[in-house]
Amino acid sequence: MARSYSVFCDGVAAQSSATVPQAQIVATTAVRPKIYDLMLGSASTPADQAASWVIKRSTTASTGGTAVTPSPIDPGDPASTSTAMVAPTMSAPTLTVVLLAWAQNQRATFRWVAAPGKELVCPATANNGLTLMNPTLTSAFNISATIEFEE
Amino acid sequence: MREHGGFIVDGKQVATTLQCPHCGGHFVSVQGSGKRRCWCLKCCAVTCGRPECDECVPIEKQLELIEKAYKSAMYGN
Repeated sequence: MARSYSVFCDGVAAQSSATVPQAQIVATTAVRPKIYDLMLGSASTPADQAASWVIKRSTTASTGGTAVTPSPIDPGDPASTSTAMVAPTMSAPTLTVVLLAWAQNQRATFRWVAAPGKELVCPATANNGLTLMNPTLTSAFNISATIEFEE
Repeated sequence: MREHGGFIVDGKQVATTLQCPHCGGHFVSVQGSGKRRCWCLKCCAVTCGRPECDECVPIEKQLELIEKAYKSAMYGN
């Protein structure tokens, strides 16, 4: 049975880059990570700023960011096989197809939920991943995000 | 058509998404938007409309091909 994990980042500056990721979940040859829930908002001073967001497939793993240990949703589960990393100072991975795209105002809290069996899936291949990108941003603000995935 | 995902803003569902059976990406389908979409007769589902997704290669098959190519490159089998 699939096990669920959560990756959380709080108060991280929105990346505003088409090449450098905001966050990345990286698979191994043993598991296929599947994102089924994503929440994104901002705890910065409220302002009318806009940002676009996408989740893309990536075929190389970023380096240099802040490694985040995915937390098991069920505390009885073992540590996740997939790894995660969040901005800042991540290196640019090789990006491929867009899997999900949206735009949101800084004042809004956004959530995307997949129906069971319709998750964003990454192949069980080393260094392949699902990458959260922030291509455009009108002005800098910090974000808080939670990405939940199963493997 | 049954939704495959949903956008929720400030606690209210504002849109539903469909999943492309070929690339696995989710998109918001708006009737009359003029955006190119296709119907895959084999998958019985709407594709995202990218030309790369016109040919029927289901996402499960694509994932297997990527995994197979990696294992072949790494282990030569």
